[in-house]
Amino acid sequence: MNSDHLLSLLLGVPALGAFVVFFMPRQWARALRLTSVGFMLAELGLSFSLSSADYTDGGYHFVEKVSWIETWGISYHLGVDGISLWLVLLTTLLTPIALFVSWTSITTKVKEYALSFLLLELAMLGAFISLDVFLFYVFWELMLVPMYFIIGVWGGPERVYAAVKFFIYTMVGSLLMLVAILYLVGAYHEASGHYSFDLLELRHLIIPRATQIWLFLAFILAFAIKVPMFPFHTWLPDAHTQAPTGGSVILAAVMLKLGTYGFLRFAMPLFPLASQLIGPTIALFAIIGIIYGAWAAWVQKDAKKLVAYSSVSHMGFIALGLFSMTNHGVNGSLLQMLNHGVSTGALFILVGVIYERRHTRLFSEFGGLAKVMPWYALFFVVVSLSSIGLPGTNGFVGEFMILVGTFTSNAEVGFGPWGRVFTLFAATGVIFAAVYMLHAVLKIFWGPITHKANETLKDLTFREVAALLPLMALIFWIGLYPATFLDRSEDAVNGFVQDFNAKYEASKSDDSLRLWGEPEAPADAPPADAVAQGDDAPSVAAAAAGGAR
Amino acid sequence: MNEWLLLAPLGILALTGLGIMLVDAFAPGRAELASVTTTALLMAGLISVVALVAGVQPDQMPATVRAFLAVDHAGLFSDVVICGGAALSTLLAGGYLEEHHLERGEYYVLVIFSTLGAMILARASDVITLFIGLETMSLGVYCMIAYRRTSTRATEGALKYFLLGSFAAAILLFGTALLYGATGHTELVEIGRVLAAGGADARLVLLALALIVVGLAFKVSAVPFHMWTPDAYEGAPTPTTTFMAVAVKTAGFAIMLRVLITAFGDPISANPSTGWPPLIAGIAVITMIYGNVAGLAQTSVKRMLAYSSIAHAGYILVAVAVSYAAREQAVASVLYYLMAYTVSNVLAFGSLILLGSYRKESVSYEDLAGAGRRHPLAALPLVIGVLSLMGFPPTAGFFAKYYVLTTALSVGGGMVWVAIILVLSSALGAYYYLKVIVYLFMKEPQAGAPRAVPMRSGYVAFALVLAGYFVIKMGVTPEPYLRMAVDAAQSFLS
Amino acid sequence: MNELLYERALVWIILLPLIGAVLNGLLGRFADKNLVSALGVGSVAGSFFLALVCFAHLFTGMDAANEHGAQIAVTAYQWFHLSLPAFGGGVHEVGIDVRFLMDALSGLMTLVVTGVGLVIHVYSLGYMKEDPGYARFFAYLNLFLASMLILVLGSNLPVMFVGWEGVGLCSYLLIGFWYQTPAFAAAGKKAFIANRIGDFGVLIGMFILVSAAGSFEFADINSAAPSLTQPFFLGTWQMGTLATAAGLFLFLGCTGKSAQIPLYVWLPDAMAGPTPVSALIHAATMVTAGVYLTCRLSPVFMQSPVAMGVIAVIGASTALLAASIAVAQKEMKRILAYSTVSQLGFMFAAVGVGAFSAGFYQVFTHAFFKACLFLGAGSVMHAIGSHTDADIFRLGGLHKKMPKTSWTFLLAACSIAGVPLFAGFFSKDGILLGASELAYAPEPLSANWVGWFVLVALSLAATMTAFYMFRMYFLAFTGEYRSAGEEGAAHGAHDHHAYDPNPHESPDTMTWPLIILAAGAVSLGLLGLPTEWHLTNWWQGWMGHSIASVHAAAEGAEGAEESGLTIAYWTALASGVLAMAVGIGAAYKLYYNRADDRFRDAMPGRLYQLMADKWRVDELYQRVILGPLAGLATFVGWIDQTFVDMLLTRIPSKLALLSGFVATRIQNGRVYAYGAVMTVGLAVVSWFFVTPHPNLEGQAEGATAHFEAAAGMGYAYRWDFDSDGTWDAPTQGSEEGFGAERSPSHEYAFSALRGRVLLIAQPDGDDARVLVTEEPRPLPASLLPAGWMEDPTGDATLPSVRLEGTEIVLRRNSAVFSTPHGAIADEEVHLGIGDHVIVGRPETSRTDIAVRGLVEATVEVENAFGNRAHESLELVVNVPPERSEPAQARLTTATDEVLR
Repeated sequence: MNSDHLLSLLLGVPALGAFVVFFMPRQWARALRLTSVGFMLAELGLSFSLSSADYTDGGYHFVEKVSWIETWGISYHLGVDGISLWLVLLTTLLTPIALFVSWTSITTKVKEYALSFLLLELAMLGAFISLDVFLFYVFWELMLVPMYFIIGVWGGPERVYAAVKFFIYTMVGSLLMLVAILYLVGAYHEASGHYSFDLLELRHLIIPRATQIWLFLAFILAFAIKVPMFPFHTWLPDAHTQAPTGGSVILAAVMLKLGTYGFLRFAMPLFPLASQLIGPTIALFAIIGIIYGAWAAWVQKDAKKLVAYSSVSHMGFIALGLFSMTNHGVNGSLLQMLNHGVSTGALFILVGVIYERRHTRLFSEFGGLAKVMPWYALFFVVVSLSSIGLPGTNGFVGEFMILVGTFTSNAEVGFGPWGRVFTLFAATGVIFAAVYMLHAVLKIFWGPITHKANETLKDLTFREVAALLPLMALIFWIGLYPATFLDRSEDAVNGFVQDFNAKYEASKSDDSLRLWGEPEAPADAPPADAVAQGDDAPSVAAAAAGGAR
Repeated sequence: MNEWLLLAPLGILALTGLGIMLVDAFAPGRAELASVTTTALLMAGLISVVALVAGVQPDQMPATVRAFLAVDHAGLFSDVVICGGAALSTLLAGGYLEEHHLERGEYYVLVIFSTLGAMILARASDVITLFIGLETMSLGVYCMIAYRRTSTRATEGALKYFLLGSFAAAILLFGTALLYGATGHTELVEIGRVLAAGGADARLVLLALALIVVGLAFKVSAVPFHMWTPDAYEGAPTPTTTFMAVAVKTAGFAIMLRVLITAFGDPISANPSTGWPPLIAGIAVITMIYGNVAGLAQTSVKRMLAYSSIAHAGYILVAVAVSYAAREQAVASVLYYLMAYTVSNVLAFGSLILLGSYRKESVSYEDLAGAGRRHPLAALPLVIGVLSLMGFPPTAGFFAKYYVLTTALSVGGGMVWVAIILVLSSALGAYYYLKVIVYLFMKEPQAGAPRAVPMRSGYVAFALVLAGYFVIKMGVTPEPYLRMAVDAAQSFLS
Repeated sequence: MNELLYERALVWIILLPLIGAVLNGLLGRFADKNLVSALGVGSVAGSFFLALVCFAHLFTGMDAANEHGAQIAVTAYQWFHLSLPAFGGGVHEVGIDVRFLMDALSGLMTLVVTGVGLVIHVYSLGYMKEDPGYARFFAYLNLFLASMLILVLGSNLPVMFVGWEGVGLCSYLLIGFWYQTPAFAAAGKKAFIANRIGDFGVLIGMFILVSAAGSFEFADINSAAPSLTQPFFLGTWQMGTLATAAGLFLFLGCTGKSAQIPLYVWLPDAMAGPTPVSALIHAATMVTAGVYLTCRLSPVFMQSPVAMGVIAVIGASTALLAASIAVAQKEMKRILAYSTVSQLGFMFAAVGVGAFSAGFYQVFTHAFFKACLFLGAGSVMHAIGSHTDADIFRLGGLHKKMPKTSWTFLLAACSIAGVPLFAGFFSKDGILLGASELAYAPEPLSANWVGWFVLVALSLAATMTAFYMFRMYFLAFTGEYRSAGEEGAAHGAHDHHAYDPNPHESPDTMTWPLIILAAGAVSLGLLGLPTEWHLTNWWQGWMGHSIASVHAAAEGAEGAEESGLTIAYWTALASGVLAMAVGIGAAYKLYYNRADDRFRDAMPGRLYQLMADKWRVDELYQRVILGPLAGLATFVGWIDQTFVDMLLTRIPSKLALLSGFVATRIQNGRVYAYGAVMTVGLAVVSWFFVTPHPNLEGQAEGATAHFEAAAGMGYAYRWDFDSDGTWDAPTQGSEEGFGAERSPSHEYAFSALRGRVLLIAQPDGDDARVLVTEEPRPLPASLLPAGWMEDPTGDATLPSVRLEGTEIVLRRNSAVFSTPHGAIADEEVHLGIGDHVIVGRPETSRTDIAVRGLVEATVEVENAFGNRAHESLELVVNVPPERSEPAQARLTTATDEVLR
């Protein structure tokens, strides 16, 4: 296998899978499931070979660049660095699991279901690995359609409302982002004389402060809706409660990450002045989200809604850590993206388990399940603890790093004097997390069995255990030996922080529209040496190399 | 000698039209007519493509011809779009008329002649030609709308269109008359020269400009001159609707560009604060908003598509409004948009025909309920079509909208806000496009409601495949079409 | 001896119980009971043995002690690391290693945990025999031991925190062990959340320490302690010193874990768990973790008198409060629970007065006698066949029926009551001594009154302790057995089920533990003999290595040690003995061989009721904190689905739909209506062309301004640059002055100015304009940089500006002005047009202020239709005054500043 085209291959497998599934007769439900999961597992295996590269240079790897629409300087530009690596792996891991858990619950139109999941995986991966803003936007939009169908077709009674709400909400945000992107590229053309959507070139552009603020806000809106950050979160509970289990898993575990990933990859490096100016405000909203989400989760009567609101709370932590602009804060956020993916994914699977058995998720319908479903109880409690952030589980490491990051973010770049105050408030989220999670556990598992129907519930099936075990393993792996993950992402993150500071300083002293950093190379260099350069060069240089191709 | 290629399409159509009239007179109701017509239209289109690709230059063309008919590449491009659209709509007609037992030869004759009219209109380089082309096109279309004699809605729609249309035509004619009075010329280029020299009476010119803008705005159904659109679109047989949405609109915008840039291109009349650009921009804004907002409230898909076509007119007008500054880019984006819009619309209307079988046109959302579940393959083109109309990547519609946005932003200033209005209103529009998908896949028909079965028609299927192919193709690799549009724009502006 | 061996052993001390927990937890359900017991008890026995071995090694090495004393340390691997901003710039890596360390302090604690743990495991064999969740129980118990050992042996805060939260989890699981009783499950949740609140404190404390000391290792933090006296800033407000902040936050954690005011309320409810759990977790080990932590970081606490004072006062108050509650309880385990809270209060009081080693000594002895008491109570409950409660008023005369239990119980009671020569006596004595030493200290660490308060409070608490202990003993074990052949229902209290009519002694697996623990409770006093009698206090010497002590800190420490029988010592001894005597005496008088509650009869009823109701603290919390919080949460949950969603989703969508319907109303199908609309459109379009559009624009360069009006077909223009009402251009000659001049330039004379403005540079790049007039007007604070004030504390008055002749006078008031060269300006600055000043000091946050002249120009346009329109524009020009300039420059008197 030629590692130069590994990423294209990564996009190719789900596409091929979708193609194959498309031409299979719809009656072969079982074959359809097997094929699609098979392709996804192949994808998983393939994605593991990404981790082979040496990420300690913080640069991009497996870089591919082919001109797509020359007139507009749009190129098919892929690359993976320590930041996107784990998100890619998270995607490839959770998609098969998500499909696997809905093995029995989805019986109608299995073909379309499998198809949507394959396309969804394709789009999500594309968004994570594209280094061309335009390409990113395309995948970002493409993602909506399959998810729209998953919610709208296989969802609950209110599914249509939820699906449309989800779609329109995201669309409004991303359309404004599109305008911002085009404006940005226009500015780049003004400064450099040629059009380019290449992130690695655009990040050398310094934009006047006032303009920067507007563009930043447009980007932030799109991403904040996706994250979702208070007050743009109201689509989330609806989407989650209506979506089928598999859909919720993907939505919570992967799609939300695209919002925070967007902050990290696009909004912040492109507009350092603005993000420095507005960062604290965003952090404020993140903190409101943390507490608000936790409280809202506490009083939910529907288990799935509770988990949905808990996502709002957790994603708040991630956003907070990102804008702390400290190495460990950002790195912690990155890790927390994984953690949230794993824990919340598992939680949705677990909620799906009882839903599948009783077709309700109301707490009032349950109680005392620990007696009849001991294994289920064990898994659920462990996952809850990880989402509470108990030391030894993944949740702790992430939250700890984020909180330390916020606490120590006293520099001018960061929260300045407010870091400690922020920490003080954010850390209360740790308490409330325990409150709502244990509330859920109490309602579902402890106490006497109140409903006859619950007395005969059968414990986790082999399939469900098989789906959950990898997540369990990850919970403890990340919790006990996070080095595996942090080491690979660390240098990329440090590079990000370093570049951010440098560019911030540069644009603070003079924010006139200009190119900053390395001079741009001619727009048509062979893509071959991009791979070569991208692989061995320290972060800034690597960025330049990528930029210069 | 090959410069005559540039006129060949017109000739072919004229001949075919006459031929069909003869054939139909002696052997009425021949089903093959559809394929004959399509072939003719496609041939016309193909020749233009060839001419475009071969880069035939109109220099050798005798001035006498060029005086009344523009033979530049923009003309060819509009030929391609118009013929293509007409051909596709004819294919749809081939299935539709058979299904509804309406096969009578005159339909095809009408199609051919109004296509001819549209092409002449799009290429007109003289106000006289302009008017001839306009009337040739319109008269044909009036009849095509009223084609289903028995349907009151059809006749009503046709009548409204006719009345308002002649009103607008009168306005346009008066405008051109004034212009002639002011400049002493009917040739657009000459008019342009005079105006640039500033030798004309400002009052006459300004009034003429106002009247002409209104007359053209009517044809492209821009607010507030759109009122006929929903009724006509809904009343007309779906193939006719398609034809109007693609061919008529294309011709309208082509000629609008010609008049505004060739005749009124001078810095004074194209002044960004006192000339036509702000006027067009204003019309564009209200058109976008109105089209999308009104679309929200529709229960009939056809009517919704009518409003959507209004909204799209608004988007295109944004590009027209900035053509004074971003000249080449603006023209190119308009042309590209027309092409993309044509194929997307054919896809949407075509699958409406396909899904509404058994002599009942599928018009309301309710009729679509559950169709997607029952016949996913038949519903797929509709989905792609609305996604493209929504401007969703990677489809032709996305790049079209994208191109217009870039053009608007490149001018900057107030156009940035226009661009923002554009995206927000199109986000609004997303709602009613999604509603189609909702009904197709997420709703079940009420008990007892008639369940349409997709018609089995090679014509329609072929049309859909063709359109679908281009929608995707132009979305994934827009490069060649872009180049074509840019080249056309260049030759238009030179 | 091979060090590596001991390091291995250290790790295995923790691993053994962990393995036991995992195996029992996952497979125990299917395994044979004996196997489970073997695994559960065996693993603990193993780790106890290893602990002994390591401790022995430590003990022998103690003579050759470095400054930390002998220690065994092992680093497993690096968990993760932070990169803090280094003080010298750059980043400095803070590794967080999974590192374990056994020194004097942790060594002894380990022994207690594993030793008492082992005993209690054995006890549980008998106690839990019948329980269906046998395996689960042992799994939890082992897990607890493992976490507790991590807590104790962890050599840095994060690792310690792992254990810290781990034990919290286990206590949650074990309290709710009988989860099918909702009350028990609720109690577990309560415990976890109370602990979690504490953990919040620990986290923040950690952050403060690491950001100050640059490391998580206890050793590094302690050695960096002296530097912790720097101020701690929260936002921009100073909040005491770093040590105080860290100390108080950490102590918040301790109040959670060790059940102190205000978070103690979970511990009494925690008695819902099986009795061995109460003995091990909620008496002997976990709850003392807080004391352990404070001892671990004693140098840090020593740096902060405030924190120490707070700890002492809270500890003493807790001791008193809990004891007063215990006096009025009827149920054995509840009495013991409150007694535990009270004893923990003693320990913290000791820590607070600086007697760390005494406090920790109390931890040590308490582990034995309190465990013994709990297990005794458990044995009683086992005998009467009740797992949940043992009402002392329904018992009695058990001495004859179960002698072993009775004797051990008595011994333990004596020990806790502080009967001389028992272990409890010495430990309590040490605490009181610490208090009185503080009370008498010439230069006290915190304050003398703290010492007095602690002394008095603890003496009272000690009295009550002796009293309630013996009250319990006499009622339960002396007199006649009162539940012989009774029916639960007959007894009134609804929740009571019948007790076994004739109880009998418990099996050996349960009595042997009692005997061992009792022995400890009696004899362990030998470790901490008071130095005052020139006996060797082995304990202090031992602990001196790993705990800081006031004596070491305060000058003349050795003096205090050798000073022998000081007044302080006598005070302590007297109060201790007196308390014990009074307490036991009263109890004997009131309860010996009696059945009724004579104490209650003796007391005012209301007060007694209040004590019996635990001073209604739970209700208070419910009313004041939990209730409102829950209400708030409910409100949030409601508002989210209604208000927020409505604002951002429903209202916009409804509006769009509504306007859609409105729009379609126009489309009413009437063709003449359509025609009308078109006509209106045509009218509007023509109107646009018929009216002229000046669109005046312009910008200034120095004194010259360039104007541009829109070009329009047939437009004619005329200009008035200084808007004095007369048309200046084109030349006056042409009638009405209209001409083709579309984009003129005009150079302004000083006299043409309409006024003066200050341009204040704003962060967003634009300048804000402030119009200057004769009457002084303050510059709006919103336009000035953040730190414009001279001293942030004083009530600042804004700088004001006024016009004086042709000059602008700027009063700085309490602002700082400096010239561009950086010289600080004096009270009043006189500025002419073109001058520059800077608000704020050049090096700090600063904003430029420029003085400019204001002009207004007007253009009128006439188009071909003869319609006219005019438009005016204000411009800011820079016209330095000529030397000889007319002083009476006319000034507009606009009222407020104009923002561009």
